[in-house]
Amino acid sequence: MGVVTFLSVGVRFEANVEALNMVEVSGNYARHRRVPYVITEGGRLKVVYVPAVSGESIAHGYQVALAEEAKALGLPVCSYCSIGEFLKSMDEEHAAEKFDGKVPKLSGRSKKEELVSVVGEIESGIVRKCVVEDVGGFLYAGNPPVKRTSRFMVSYALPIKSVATYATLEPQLHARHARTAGERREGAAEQMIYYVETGTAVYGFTFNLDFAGVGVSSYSGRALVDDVKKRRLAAARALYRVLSSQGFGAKLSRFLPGGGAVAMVATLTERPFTVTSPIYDGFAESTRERLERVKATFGEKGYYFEMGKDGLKTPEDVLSAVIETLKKEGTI
Amino acid sequence: MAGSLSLRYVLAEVRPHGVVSLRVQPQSKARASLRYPSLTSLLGAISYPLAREDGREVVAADGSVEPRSAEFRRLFEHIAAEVVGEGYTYGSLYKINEYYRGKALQAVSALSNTFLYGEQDYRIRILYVLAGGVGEGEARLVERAAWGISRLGSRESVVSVEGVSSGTGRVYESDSVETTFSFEVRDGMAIKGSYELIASPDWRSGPLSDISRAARKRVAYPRGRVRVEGKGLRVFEFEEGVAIL
Repeated sequence: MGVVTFLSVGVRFEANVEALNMVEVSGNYARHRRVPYVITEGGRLKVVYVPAVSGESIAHGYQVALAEEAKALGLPVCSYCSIGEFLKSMDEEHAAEKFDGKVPKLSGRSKKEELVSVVGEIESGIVRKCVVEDVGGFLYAGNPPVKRTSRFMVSYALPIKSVATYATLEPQLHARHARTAGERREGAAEQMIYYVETGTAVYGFTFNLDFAGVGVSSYSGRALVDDVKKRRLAAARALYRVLSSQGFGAKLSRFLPGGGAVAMVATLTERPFTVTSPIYDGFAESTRERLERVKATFGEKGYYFEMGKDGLKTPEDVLSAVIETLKKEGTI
Repeated sequence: MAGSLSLRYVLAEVRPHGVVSLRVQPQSKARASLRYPSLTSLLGAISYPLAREDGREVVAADGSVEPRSAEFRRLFEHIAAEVVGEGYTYGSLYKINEYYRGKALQAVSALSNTFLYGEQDYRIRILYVLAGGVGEGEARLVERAAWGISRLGSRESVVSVEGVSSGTGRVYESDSVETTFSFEVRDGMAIKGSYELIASPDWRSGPLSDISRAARKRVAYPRGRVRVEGKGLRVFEFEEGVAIL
């Protein structure tokens, strides 16, 4: 048996009056992200729209936490990722700091050997200098282009299916006030009204984290750094922080949602295995049964954690148990 | 392997987590999303867990680097999918405000996704028919990799595999067959029933590093079951269904 290196987490969380993910701003009206939900009515298919939070939004929150955790552990994070601007090493300008201003280039005779050498050098240089780009991937659109696939995956957060049609989108009216003391300017409104659409739902989303790829080259499969375990620890802690404090989404300063995690399931496996989506009822049972089947069929290790079972009362209990298991296994 | 009477297969039953992000290549300002997974997406889906065995995701090719899926093509004789439930394509309009380092710009964009999300139960069954030369060890690796399919397409298309079955199927020729799995539409075929046609990059040949320039195959995705008639159709019959090779 090997070492467990793949983490999959399914979360259900209640969010009342939230503005976590806004799109389609029109004038003074900011609309919440919405997605189509297909229902059958009178024998015909009909589409209703329900609130949603994109995976990009959750991924942004995770990477902010990852940058903080990495720095707290004394790991390298580049200047852009440090301030939450995840442009990643998208071009020569943004990659320059990882190479003291001189990003490796092709000489012009793009032989196979030279190409492999240069792309490997670019990936290696970026990974060494930034944990966020190591774990979250990047796409360097230079010459040659270099792509590193993200080591974590996150789904949309969608209203759970059994009560999706009860999810609401409601515009809230607000007003900004102009100064009225002193001289009034002609035509200046004393109030400027604006609307923020808020959503209320029980959402479900999935988060996968592949520890095996952290600090490892996409091109050779070999470790590029000697602090792989520390980087994995930062990645695990960042997930703990995001899921514990619901540290993702927009407008948290004025629309901090009421609610919190209501269900959580996590698995640790040797090879990729994704929990059943929490948008489906029975996702915990389904996940546990499937995991047992994989363990029995392939003789692999696998761990299952469920909020509300085996003394794991809170999301923090689940995530602590995950991190303790990763330590016991020697993964982090 | 043409002419073989029996071939091994692996069938993965995939449950989407609401969204599948299947970009139409080449991309333009109006970035469209396919409603059915292209054959290259199905190859890519199983390539991730296969490549993870040694950590190498990309391989060098002449003049470019290729995704590892290019190497894994040799494992498969045929790839097909059966999609249960109708996807719905939708994209929010983004108003992008760029106020950054002294520049102030505004732009509008949209990024559509296909949503397999609603009251009905959406499922995708992916069929991987293994090539004749694949040995027992590799077949087992593919079976475990099928359990490890985690993403279908790009970005946020997380999926879970609810079940995997494997076995041996029979290859034979017929002039008429009923199928629920996707198949390549060829000249002389008559198709009875409802289906959607997509232009899928050819996964079998050419580089996979830039599929926007790859040759396209016309692939039909049946809505339910269709009857296909044509001279000498190569049929793959296995315990859970029938596919046209």
